[in-house]
Amino acid sequence: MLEIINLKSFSELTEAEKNEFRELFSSEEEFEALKQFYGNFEGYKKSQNYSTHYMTKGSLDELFASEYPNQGIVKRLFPSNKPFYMNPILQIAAAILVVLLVYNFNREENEKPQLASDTKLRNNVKKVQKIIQQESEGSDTSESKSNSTNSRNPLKLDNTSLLASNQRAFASSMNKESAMEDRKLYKDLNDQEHSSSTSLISTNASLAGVSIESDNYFTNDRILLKSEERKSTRKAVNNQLDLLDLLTPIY
Amino acid sequence: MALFRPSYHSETDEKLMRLMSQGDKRAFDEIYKRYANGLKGYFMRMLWRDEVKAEDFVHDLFVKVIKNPSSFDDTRSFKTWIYSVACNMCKNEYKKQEVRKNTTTGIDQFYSISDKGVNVLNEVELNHFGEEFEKHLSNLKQEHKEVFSMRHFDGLSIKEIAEATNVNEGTIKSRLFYATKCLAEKLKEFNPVMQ
Repeated sequence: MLEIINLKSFSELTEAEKNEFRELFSSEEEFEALKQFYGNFEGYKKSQNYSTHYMTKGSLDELFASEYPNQGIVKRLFPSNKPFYMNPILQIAAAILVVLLVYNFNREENEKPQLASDTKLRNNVKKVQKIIQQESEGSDTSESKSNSTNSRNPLKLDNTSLLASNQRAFASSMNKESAMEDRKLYKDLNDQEHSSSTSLISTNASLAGVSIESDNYFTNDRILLKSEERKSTRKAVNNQLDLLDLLTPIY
Repeated sequence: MALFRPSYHSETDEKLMRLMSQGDKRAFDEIYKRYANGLKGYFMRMLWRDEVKAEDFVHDLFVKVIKNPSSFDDTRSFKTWIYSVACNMCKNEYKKQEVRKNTTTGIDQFYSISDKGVNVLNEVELNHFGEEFEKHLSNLKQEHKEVFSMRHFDGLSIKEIAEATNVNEGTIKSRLFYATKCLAEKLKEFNPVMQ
């Protein structure tokens, strides 16, 4: 309708068009008035720009959020409104697959021996192997020598082994004895000190004016001195044993 | 991000409504973008150019859309449906105003513009087409105003208007012609040929 009125003049209108718009205009004057009206109206319409307030949208957003609360993880991973290749789960799976493939590929590459570039290393390895072989041969010969000397005189070998075992037994018995003595001495001293300190406390506690702690301190000192003496004697015994070891003739 | 998100600009209103009813916020945003401003203009014209009221009506209309999307039958046109809801809201408002008018002073403040006893000096000064047009449009009967507004401002076809208002096409056509003729006659003072 608008197109006809805007583009055509009254004389250009067909009978069918005139009949169609009979209600709207019956004369040329009315037609022109209508044409003018539409012209003005179009200009006015263009100037009409309405926009809603941002708060209206804000409150509607809040309402929407309350009506449609956050969807579950399953719905997020399998959204119905996206094509399958856009599904987040598929995208994650593809990313993991790519990472795994790249990782495995690199690992296989690293495990392969690089023979072409290892000539120096191989030479070195050969040298080392040679040295080891030579050494092992040398040790074999020395062992065989000693074995041969021992095999010549089996009685002498028995004697040396017996001597060594005796030395060890002697040393252990000495150690045991000294430890026992230590323990006994410590106990005796403790008893003595305890009895003396208790007697002192009971009889002269008020007169002596010495605290129990200081008494104990002296006793402890004495015990320490005694144990030091024991240690030094044990050391001396050990030194003697070492000397014995050194002095024993090797057959 | 647009690479991974489907564009909603080319989607139909009906599909957007379907997506919205599934909780798609972006679909709702697109619908709002398409219709909010147009509907505000419609309410402005229909409700005595009261901007606050128009804003409230837009809000209420979209509240209905959010809360009850199933009320939309997707075999129908969304545009027709939303304008039919808007039209019914306006009718209810008219009824409310009628009740208020009868129970209070009896003076309808909104129709005072159409009073012929308005200051003559002001009428002479009101030579701006827009102002005059709005004045005469608001003086029209509700059904004429509605049809004219839907046809010329919101771009609905005669058929769509008939669907939205639940009136047959012939009646819509005659209402439209009547409104147009009436406005053209009232505004002929802006026609330089006629003057």
